[in-house]
Amino acid sequence: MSAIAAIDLGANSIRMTIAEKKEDKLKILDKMEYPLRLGKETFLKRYISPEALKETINILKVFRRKLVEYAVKRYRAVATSAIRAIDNQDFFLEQVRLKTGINIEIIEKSEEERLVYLGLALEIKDFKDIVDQGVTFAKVGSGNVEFSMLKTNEVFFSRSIPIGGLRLRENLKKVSEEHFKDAMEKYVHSDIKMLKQSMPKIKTKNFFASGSLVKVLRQIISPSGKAIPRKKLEQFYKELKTMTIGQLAEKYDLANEYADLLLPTTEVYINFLELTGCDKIECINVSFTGCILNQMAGFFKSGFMTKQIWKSAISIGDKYHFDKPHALRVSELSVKIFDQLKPIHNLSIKHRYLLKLAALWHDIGIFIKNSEHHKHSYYLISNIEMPGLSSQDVQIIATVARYHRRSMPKKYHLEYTSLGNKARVVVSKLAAILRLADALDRSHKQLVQDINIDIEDNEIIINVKFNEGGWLEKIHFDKKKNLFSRVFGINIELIERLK
Amino acid sequence: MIKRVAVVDIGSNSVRLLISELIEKKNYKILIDEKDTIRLGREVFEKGVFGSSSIRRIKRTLEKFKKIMDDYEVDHVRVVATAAFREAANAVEVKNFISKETGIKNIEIISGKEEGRLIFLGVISNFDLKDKQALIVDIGGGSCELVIGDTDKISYNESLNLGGTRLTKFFLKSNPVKSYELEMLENHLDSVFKRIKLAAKKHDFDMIIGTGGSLNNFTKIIHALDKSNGKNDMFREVELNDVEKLCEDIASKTFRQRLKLPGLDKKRVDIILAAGLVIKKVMKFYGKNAFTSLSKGLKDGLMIDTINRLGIIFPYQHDSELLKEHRIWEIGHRYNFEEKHAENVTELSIRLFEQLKDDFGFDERWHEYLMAAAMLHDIGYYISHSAHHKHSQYLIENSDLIGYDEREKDIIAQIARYHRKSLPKKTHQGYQNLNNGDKEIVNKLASVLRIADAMDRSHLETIHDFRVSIKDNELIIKVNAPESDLFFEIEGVSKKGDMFTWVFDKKVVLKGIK
Amino acid sequence: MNKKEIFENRQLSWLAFNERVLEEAEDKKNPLLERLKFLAIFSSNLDEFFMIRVANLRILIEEGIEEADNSGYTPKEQVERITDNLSGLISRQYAGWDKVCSEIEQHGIYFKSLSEINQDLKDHLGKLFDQEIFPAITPMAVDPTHPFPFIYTNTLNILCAIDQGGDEEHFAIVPVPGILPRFYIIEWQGEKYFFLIEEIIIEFLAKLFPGHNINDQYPFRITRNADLEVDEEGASDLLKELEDRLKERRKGSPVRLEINRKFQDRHLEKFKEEFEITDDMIFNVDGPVDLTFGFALFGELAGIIPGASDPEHTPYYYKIDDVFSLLKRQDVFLHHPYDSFQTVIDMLEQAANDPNVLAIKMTLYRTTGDKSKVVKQLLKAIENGKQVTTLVELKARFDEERNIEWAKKLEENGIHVVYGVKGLKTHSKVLLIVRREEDGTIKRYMQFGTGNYNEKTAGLYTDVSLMTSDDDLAFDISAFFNYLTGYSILPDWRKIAVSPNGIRDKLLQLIDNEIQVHSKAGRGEIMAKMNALVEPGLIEKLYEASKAGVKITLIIRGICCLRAGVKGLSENIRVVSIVGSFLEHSRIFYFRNAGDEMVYMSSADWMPRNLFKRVELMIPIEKDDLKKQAINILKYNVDDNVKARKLLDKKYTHVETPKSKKKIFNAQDAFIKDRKKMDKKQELVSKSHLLEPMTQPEAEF
Repeated sequence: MSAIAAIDLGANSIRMTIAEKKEDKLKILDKMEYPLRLGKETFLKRYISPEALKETINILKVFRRKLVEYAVKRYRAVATSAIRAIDNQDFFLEQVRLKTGINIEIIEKSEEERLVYLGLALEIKDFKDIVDQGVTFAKVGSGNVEFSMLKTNEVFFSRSIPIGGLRLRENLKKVSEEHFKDAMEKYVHSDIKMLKQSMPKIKTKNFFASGSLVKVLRQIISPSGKAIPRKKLEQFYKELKTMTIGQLAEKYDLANEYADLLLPTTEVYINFLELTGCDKIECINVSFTGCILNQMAGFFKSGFMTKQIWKSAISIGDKYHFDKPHALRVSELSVKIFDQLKPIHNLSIKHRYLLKLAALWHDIGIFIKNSEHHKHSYYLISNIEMPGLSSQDVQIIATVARYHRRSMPKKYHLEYTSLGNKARVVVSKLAAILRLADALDRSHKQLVQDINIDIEDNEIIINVKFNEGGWLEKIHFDKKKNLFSRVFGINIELIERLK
Repeated sequence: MIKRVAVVDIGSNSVRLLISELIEKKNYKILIDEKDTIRLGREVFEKGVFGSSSIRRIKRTLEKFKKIMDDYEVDHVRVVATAAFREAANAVEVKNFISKETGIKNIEIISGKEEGRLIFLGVISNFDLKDKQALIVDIGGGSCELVIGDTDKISYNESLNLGGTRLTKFFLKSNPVKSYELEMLENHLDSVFKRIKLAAKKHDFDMIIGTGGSLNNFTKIIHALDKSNGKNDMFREVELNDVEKLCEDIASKTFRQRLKLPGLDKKRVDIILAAGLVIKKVMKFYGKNAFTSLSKGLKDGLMIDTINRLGIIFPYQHDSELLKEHRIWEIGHRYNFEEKHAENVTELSIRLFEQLKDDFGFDERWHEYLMAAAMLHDIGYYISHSAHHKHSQYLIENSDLIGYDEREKDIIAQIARYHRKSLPKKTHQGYQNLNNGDKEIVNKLASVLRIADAMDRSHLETIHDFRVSIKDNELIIKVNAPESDLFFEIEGVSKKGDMFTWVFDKKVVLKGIK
Repeated sequence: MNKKEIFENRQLSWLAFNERVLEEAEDKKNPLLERLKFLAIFSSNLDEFFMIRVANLRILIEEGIEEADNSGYTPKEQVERITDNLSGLISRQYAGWDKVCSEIEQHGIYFKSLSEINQDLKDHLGKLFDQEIFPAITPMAVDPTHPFPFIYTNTLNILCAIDQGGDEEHFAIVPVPGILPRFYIIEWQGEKYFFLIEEIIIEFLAKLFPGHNINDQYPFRITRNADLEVDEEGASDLLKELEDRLKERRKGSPVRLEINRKFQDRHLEKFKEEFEITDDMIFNVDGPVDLTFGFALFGELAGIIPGASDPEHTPYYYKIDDVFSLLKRQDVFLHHPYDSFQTVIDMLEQAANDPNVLAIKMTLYRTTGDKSKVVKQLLKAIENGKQVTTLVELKARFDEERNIEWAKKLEENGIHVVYGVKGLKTHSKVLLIVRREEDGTIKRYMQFGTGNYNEKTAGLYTDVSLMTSDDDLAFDISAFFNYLTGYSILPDWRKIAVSPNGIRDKLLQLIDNEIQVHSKAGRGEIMAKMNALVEPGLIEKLYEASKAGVKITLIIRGICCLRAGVKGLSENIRVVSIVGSFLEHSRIFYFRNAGDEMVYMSSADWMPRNLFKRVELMIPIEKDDLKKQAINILKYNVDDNVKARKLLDKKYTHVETPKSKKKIFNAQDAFIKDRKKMDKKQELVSKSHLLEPMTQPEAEF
C-alpha cells in the first residue's frame, strides 16, 4: 500500500501529514506545519485577501511537491473554521485547485469534531475507563475553544466558545498592552460565566487537552512530564502576567506566533480546570491530519460514534424537557416502520439514523410553546450543533420534525424548498413515516407492543399489536396517514391484531 | 408531588383539554391543548335537555380525554361544565352517567359568574392591565360573560345567554341569513344590553378585551383580510368599522361562500356571525371604537385557578403591579438566563435611556420595550452560543409577554436581536417587516442596549455611577471610577457604540473620572 | 574569578592556532613544499581574520563600544593585543619564507630580484611584459580631475608617484591584473628563475607612463571589512539581494594595509588620508606582499622537485554495489579523507539512477564548481524524473558568488533550490533519499557529514560520514528539510538535535547527565573533538563537570576559550590540538554514560555562531560497531605524539615526541596505515569473489 496524506487548512497554520499503513497502525513519514493565520483575516472580515490566498497557494505548492516525493496517490485536503465561514469561499477553493491541483473540501465542524473524537478514542489508552470516570476534552485553538465533557460513554456537553487566543488578541487589539492582561481575564471570565449557566454541574476526573499551544505549555511548565499540574499552571500564569511578549519569546525561545497567545491560552485553561474540577491537564497529541489519516486507513471503528450521537441527542431532549418515553417510543416505531418499508422507500441507513433523531426530537418545540410547536422544534433542531451531524443532516432532521404534524410540505415553505430536490424527497418520506409513528403513540402511553407491515399490491397493511386500548392511536393514525399515501402513492391501513 | 395538572372545560360548542406540567412552582408549561367541537348547545338550547346523541358525544370525547390524561399520568384533574350543563334539565343525570362511564369524577357545573371570574383570571395572567379597567367579553357557545375589573379585583360580573351557538340556533337559521333574521337578533341584543347597561355604566372602563374561540377566529379573519398575516397572534386590536364590515360581508354570504374567507375556521362557519354581531353591539353600546382580541380565556384561568387551589401561587400573583416583569422573569428563568447580567444591563439601559431621552427624542412608552429587551437579550444563549442574539429574537417572538401587543413584542424581539453583531440590513426579514416608525424605535433602543451591554461586558457590574454628556459629535459617558479599571468597558463601548454612531452620528466614548 | 581568569580571548586563541600553523611551516621535519603550503595557509587564515574578526572589532571601536567580551577584553584591547602578537608572527612568517626560498634554490630554482639578472634575461622579461602583461594593465591616474580610484579588497596594486618634469607630482595606481599568474618561473639557459609579477611590472613601469618621471612606486594590498550582513527580513528575493550586496562588499572600509617597503612620508600621509587608515593598520612586510600564492607555487613545484611534498594520499574506497539493500541491513560509517568520499558520491549516483527512488534532498554549502560530481548526479536524477531539492547556502562566507551562480544553474535545470532559513546560515550537511521499496512502502536513506559536499576538501579535511536508513532519523530529517525549505514549525525531534539552540541545549543536558551519572557510578568521561570551543555556557558547564570529577578530553584544532588544567577550575580537563597535513575538521562527541556510551557527530563547533546563528545538526551514532569506530578516532587523536600540542592554561606546548621509533604515533598516519591493512583484506575478499561458481544462462545453449 502506498503512502497517504492529509492536509488541513486551519485557522493558525496549514498542516500536512504523510503516513503509511503498517499493520494496524499508521507510520508517520512526514509532518509539516506552516504558520499562516488565515483565521486572523476570516474571524474579522469573513473574507480571504489575495495575499493570504497567494500564501496558501505557495504553501500548498510545497505540499504538492511532497505528495510527489512520497508518491502519494490518495490524499484528503480539508479546511476547517477559517475557511468555513468566508464569503469568497468558492473563489478561494477554485483558485487553490487551479494553481495547485489540490482539491480542498470544507469540513463541517460537526464532522471535524467527530473525527477528532474518534482520533482521541484511538489514541488514548483505556479510553472506555476514562470516559466512565468522566473526562473533559479541551482544545484552546486560535479562534475557538472546543470543549466537551463525557461521562459513561456519553457526550453530554459540548460547546465551542469564541475565546481562542488569536480571537482574543484580535478582539482586544485596541486595548493597550499594559491593560491587555486584565481585559483578557475579564473577557474570558465573562464567557466562562455564561458557559457555566448552560452547562450541567458535573465534575470530570480527567482533563485532556490537545493542540500545539498546550504542547508549548507542557514543554515550558513540565518538560519531563506528560501532564501539567493546575498549581504549576497557575504559577506560570502569574509569571506570564509580569512579562512582555518580547521577554516571553526570548525567555522560552518561542516564535512570536506562540508567545502572544500564551497568556490568553493559559488563562482559558485555568478557567476550564476550575470549571471541571480537575487538578491537571493531560496533553494528548491528536492532530486533525492524523485523524483524517486514521479514517483513510480505515482504523476508525464504524458505528462507534452513532452511540455517542444518540446519547447526546437524548441529553438535548432532556434540556428541552421532552417526554422521554414518548420520544423514545416514536423513535423506535419510526425505525421499525422504516425497516419494514425498505422495499418501497429506497432510503439509506443514514436516512434511517436521521429519522431516528427527528423522531426523538419531534416534540422539543413544546418547550417554547405548545401551539405551533412543530415549528419551534424545527427552529431548535436546526440550531443544534453536535459532533457527527453535518449541517445538512441537521436541516433534514429539523424539517422532518417540522412536518410531524399539521400542514404537509408545501412549495411556499422556505425551510422545505431550500433543501434541494433530493433532500425534499427524503424529508417527505421520513416525515410521512414519523407521522405514522407519532400517531401510534398518540396516547403517550407506549401502548404499541409490536408492529408488522405487509406490503401488498394496492395497499400497505400495518398490523399493530396493542398492550391495551389503542383506540386513540387508531383515530390519529387515520388522520395522519394522508402524507404517507401522498408521498408513497399507496394507501396504508392500520389493522389491530388481537392480543 | 403534583407535577401534571389537567383541566377540562365542557363548553356549549366544544370540549377542551389542557394538560400542563409545573416547573418548580414558578411556572407551568402546556403539554396538551386538545379540543373536540361537539356542539352540545345545539340540542340543549333548543330542547332544554341532552339527547342521546349529545350524551354519546360527551361520553366519547371525555373517554378520549380520560385516556390522554391517563397516558400523561396526570396527577390532578379538574373538569368544569358551563352553559349547556347549567341549562340542561337532565344535567345531573348526564353528569353522573358520564362519570360512571368514563371514570371522570366530580364534574363541576360552574355558574356564569364563576365562569366570568375564571376568564378574568385567564386574561389578567396574560395581559397587563396595569392602571387600566377593562371589560372582558367572552363569547362562548351558550353564554357570554361580561366582566369588568383591573388587576386587583372584579367590579362587575355578568353572564348573558348570548353564546354563539345559542344565538345562531335561535335567530340565524337560514343560509344565507335573511335580513329579518338579522333584524330580530339585533333587536334581541338591544333589549339585553339595555337591561344591563345601567349596571355596567357605573363601572367605567378603558378597554374591551374579547375572548373565546369564535371571537378569536372572527378577529383572525379581519387580520387575514387586512394584511394576509397568518401569524398565530395571542392578541390583536380590532376596530369597530372592521367588525361592522366583516359582519355585513358574512351576513351576505352562504356557508359555502364564507368558507373562502381567509383564516375562517370551518367548524365555526355558522356561528361566527353571531359572535361578530355580539361584539359589535358591545362596542356600540359602550361607545368604544376598538376591542382587543385575546386568545386566552376560560381554560387558562381554569388552569391557573386549579393550580392555585393546589396551594401554588405564581409569583406575579402576589403583586399584580409587577405582572409584566414577572412574566419576563419567568421567561428568563426558563431559558436559564444570567439574572445578574440581565438585571444590570437593564438598569444601565434604563439609566442611559433616562439621560438620553430628552436629547434624542425617546418616547416614554419605549421605556417598557427597552426594559423587556434588556432583560431578555441573552436568552438565546440557551439554544447555542453562536448567533444567540437571533435565538433571543426567536424566543421573544414566540413567548407570551404580558402587557405588550404583537407589534410591541416584535419591536422588543428586534431590539434584543441587535444587541450584538451586525447592524440592521436589507436582508434582515424581521427588521424589514417593521414599519418605518418601529424601525426607528428599534434602531434607537438597540443602540442604547448595545452600549449598556458593553458597559457590562465583563458581567462583573463594574459600572454603577455614570453621567452622560453630549459634545459636538460625541456622546461621552463619564463613569465614576478610575480609568484604569475601565479599559475593558472603554474598549467595549467604543466597539459597540457602532450602532449609536450609525443612528445618531455620534461617537460613543466611555471615560473614567477618578 | 573574573572573566579573564575563566576564559581565554577568542582572537588570541585564534592567533595561537595560526601560530601552530606557522610552527608547522617552521618545522624542518615537514617536507619543504608542505612548509611552503603552511606559509600560504597562515597567510590566507590571516586574511580572513582581518576581513572578519579585526574588521568587526574595528566597527565596534568606531561605534564607541567599550564593553568587554566574555573573556573580559574590550574591542580596543583586543585590537591592541592582536597587533602586538602579529608583528612577531609576521616576521617569523617571512623568515620562514626566506628559509623555504633558499631551500628551493638548492633544487635549482632561483629567486632573484630584477636588478640581479643579466640584460638578456631582462629583455626576455621585457618581451613577456609587452606581450602578456602590458595589455592587461589599466593604470589609473590620480589628479584633481581623477579622484582616487576604488581599490578592491585583497587585490595587489602598485602606487606610483609621477610627474611630467617640473609639474606637480601626482599619484597613479597600477592594479596588478588578477587574471594573470602572480609569479612566473622562467627557464633561462638551463636554470629556473622565479619572478613575481609586480616586480616585472615595476621594472617596466616607464612603458606605462611615457613622458613621465616615476619618482617612487609601492606595491600594496588593502584588506577591507568583508563581513556581510544581509537584511534578510526585508529582502524579497534573497538571491538578488546577495548579488547586490556582493558588489558592495568590496567597498567595505579598510582594516589593513600591507606594503613591503617604506613609504616616503609625504606619500604615506596622503595615502593614509585617502584610505582613512591609521598607523596600527599598516603592516610592512619583509618580502612579497600576500604569500597566499604559496598554494599555486606548491602546485608548480610539486612536479619539479620530487619528494618535497607529502606523497599523494589514495583513500580507501569502500565500494558498495547496492547501497540501498546494504543500508537496509546496516549503517555505514566513513572517515574521510582516509575513506574515499566516492562512496558518498556512489550513494548519490545509485539514487539518481534507481527507478524506485522518488526524491533526493541535500544541503550544499561549499561545493566544487561546475565539475562537481555531486551536482552531476543531481542533474542526472532530474533527468530520471526524480524530485530533487537542494538547499544552497548563499551565505557561505567568501563562496557567495560561486553559490549564486550555482543556484541559478541548478534552478534552470529543474532542481528545486531553496535558500535556507531567514537570518540563519545553513551549515548542516545532510543527504536524504526517498525511495519506494518493492512492497510499496517508503524507505528513506540518509548520509550525514561533518564536512561539505566538496570532493576537493573531502580529500584534505578529516571528516566523518554516517549512512543509515533509520526510520526515526528519517522522520527527523524529513522534518528538518521541511524546516529548511520554508518555515515549517519544528517538531519534537525523535533523535537529532538542531541548532539554533537545540544542539546547545542537548549538549548541556548530556554534560549534566554525565555529571549525575558520575556522582552515582563514578568514571564519568567526556571526549569531544571539534574545531573551536568558544561558547561560554558550554565552557562553564565543562568546568562544572571537571569540578564534579568528570574526566574530560577535548581535541580542538583551533580556537579554545577554555582554560585547561587550571587548579580549582579545570584540573580534569585536558585539551589537545592537532595541526596536521590534513585539516582536522570532524566533530565527534562522546559521553561515557556509565558504560552505555553515547556518541554524536555534528556539523557544529561549540561556538555561539554555530549554536545560535546557524542551522546545524547533531546526530547520534547508535550502532555499537560504528560507535567503536568513532571512539577510535578520538583515541587516536589523543594518543598522537607527533603533531599534537597540549594546552595548559592558555599556553600550547608541543607534545614530546618519543625517541623510540616504535613509540612514535602520528594519528593521521595511523589512519592511513589502518586503511592499507584494510586494502589487503579487501583484496582477499575480492579474490574470494572470483571463487564463486559461475553459471551460464541457459538461453545461450
